[in-house]
Amino acid sequence: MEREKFLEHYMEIQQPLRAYLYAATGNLHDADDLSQAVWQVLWKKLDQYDDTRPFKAWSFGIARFEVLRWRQRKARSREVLSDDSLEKLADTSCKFADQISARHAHLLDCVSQLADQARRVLELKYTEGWISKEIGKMIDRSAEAVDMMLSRTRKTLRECVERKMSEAQ
Amino acid sequence: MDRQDLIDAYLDGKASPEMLAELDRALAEDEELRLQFLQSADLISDLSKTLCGAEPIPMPKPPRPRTTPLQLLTLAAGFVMAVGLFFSMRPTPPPNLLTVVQGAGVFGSTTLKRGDRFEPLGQLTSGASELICRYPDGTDITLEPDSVLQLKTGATKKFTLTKGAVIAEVEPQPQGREMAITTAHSVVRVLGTRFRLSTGVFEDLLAVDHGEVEFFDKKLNVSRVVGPRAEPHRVEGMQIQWASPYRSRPFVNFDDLSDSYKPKRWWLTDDFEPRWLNKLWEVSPPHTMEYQSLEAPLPNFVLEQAERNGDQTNVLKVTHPNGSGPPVSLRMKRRILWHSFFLNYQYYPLSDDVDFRQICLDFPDGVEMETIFESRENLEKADSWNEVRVEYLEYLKGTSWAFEVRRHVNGEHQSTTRVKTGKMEPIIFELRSGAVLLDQISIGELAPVAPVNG
Repeated sequence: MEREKFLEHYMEIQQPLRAYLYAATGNLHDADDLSQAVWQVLWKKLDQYDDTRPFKAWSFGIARFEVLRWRQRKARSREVLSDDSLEKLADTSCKFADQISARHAHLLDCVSQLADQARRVLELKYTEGWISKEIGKMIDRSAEAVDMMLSRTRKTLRECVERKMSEAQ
Repeated sequence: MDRQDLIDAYLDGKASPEMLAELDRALAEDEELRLQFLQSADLISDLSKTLCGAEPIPMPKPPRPRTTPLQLLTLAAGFVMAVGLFFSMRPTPPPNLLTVVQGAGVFGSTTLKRGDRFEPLGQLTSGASELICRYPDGTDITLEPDSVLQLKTGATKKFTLTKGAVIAEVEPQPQGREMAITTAHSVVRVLGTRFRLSTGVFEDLLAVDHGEVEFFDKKLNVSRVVGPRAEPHRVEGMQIQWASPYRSRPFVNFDDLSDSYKPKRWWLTDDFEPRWLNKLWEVSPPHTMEYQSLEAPLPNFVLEQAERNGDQTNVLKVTHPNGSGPPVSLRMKRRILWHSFFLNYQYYPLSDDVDFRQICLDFPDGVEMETIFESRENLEKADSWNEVRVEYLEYLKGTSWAFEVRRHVNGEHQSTTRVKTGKMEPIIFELRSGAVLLDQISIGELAPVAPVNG
């Protein structure tokens, strides 16, 4: 496969792949590390790739393997999802990768409709990485109130994205 | 608790073992839930990028105290007087622009050169050399080569360091408007001082030259004040002591390193990879000849020719007649050839609560080193240790590594084994000395960094 074509394919599956890795690990940093590992394997094995086979399935197959390796390393030190769930998650991710990708176009719109404080709290949490307790200090709320606000905001965003997906169909 | 709450708790790292088990069962049975789970993960993983692209939002203001009419009148009068006084005595304050005083870089899509001024709101990237920018109050921000800093607001000095390292020389800042640098792992707040903060995939390193800064560790949710000569802070793992032998912690001695070649960061972690237990030193064909000129008497080394999948491989087996002892694994990734370092380290038995630990080191030229402490049982056989001496030399005709393993039993030096290599290409070393057993060296191929979406 040509490198340009490979990059094109990779960009299409990058976000669903990251979502799967995040779902599997429950940790964004681990998900990023695994994304990098998957990328490296894909790149190294590019010459072996049979381009009559779907790129998506190939990539998710490698991601599944990397997740299982990660699970072997982590299983001893903390609770992780079972092999069975991880396998099924990989299947579902691959199957619905296009749908997951399509949601991105609507997210920015939905974020822009949020109240200023809700957006600011999202930014503090997911861009700057503050914990709820610290965010609470900044906006004069308790950590529980921040968690509640985040939960409500995520729900609002999910519903907004769903609505826009339905309207687009 | 409904299923979405379970998912949210898991993705926020707050799920209890019972919640995790419930989620796990449900995921295994229900594809619809799996899709819901993936969409939730996708939402969060995509939010940071989306929020970076959105319009900036002002920080919410704290609630104001109630004011009586009399207070209002007094405040109004005071305000009028203050404004009049201000304009009669002072010129208009200069805008809070940053000026490039040295180097070049890119701000947003604009190329910067010395003397350029810009509003500090956006992404600042350094090139191959340092980029130094100065605020009107004299505060200098030095962005080290190949670093990226997000300037968060125009009015206050708040940044996010997303890559590389920044050195800040900060003039005293007004109370309540302290300068803050955020990374993925930590937040550093400072009123006036000089320090260097670098960020990596796993953690940050903070070194304070003078003054004091507050270092907030996001993962551990702890804050500490760091002053000059303080031990560099690591997010993960336990502390490495600069201590004498026989302490219950590893001892690392960097004294032989030149000042320009101290590790950029070093930390302990409990990760362990079983593959490091392999017991062969394999050299791929391009390097075959290099290892045949091993220096030093090596009675315990056996060089074997092997063939696998049509490729010829040299296998160097290293054994020691004294049998087993505390094992050490040493892995090195080497990417760049033009630096030298000399490292001498020793290890000592770890404390009771340690199972698997490794010391990880990053050197300025990209060399990474990870040392595995393999099992508590072995390490508790005190009084014996290996001292591994690693030299990385640069010759006119290429570069060379040398490994020297000194075996100590009951505190006395017993034997030394030395291996010296010839010229190297970018390579991943895996070296294990368990009972003075050098294990595996494998040739690694470098892969490019994954593209960033958007």
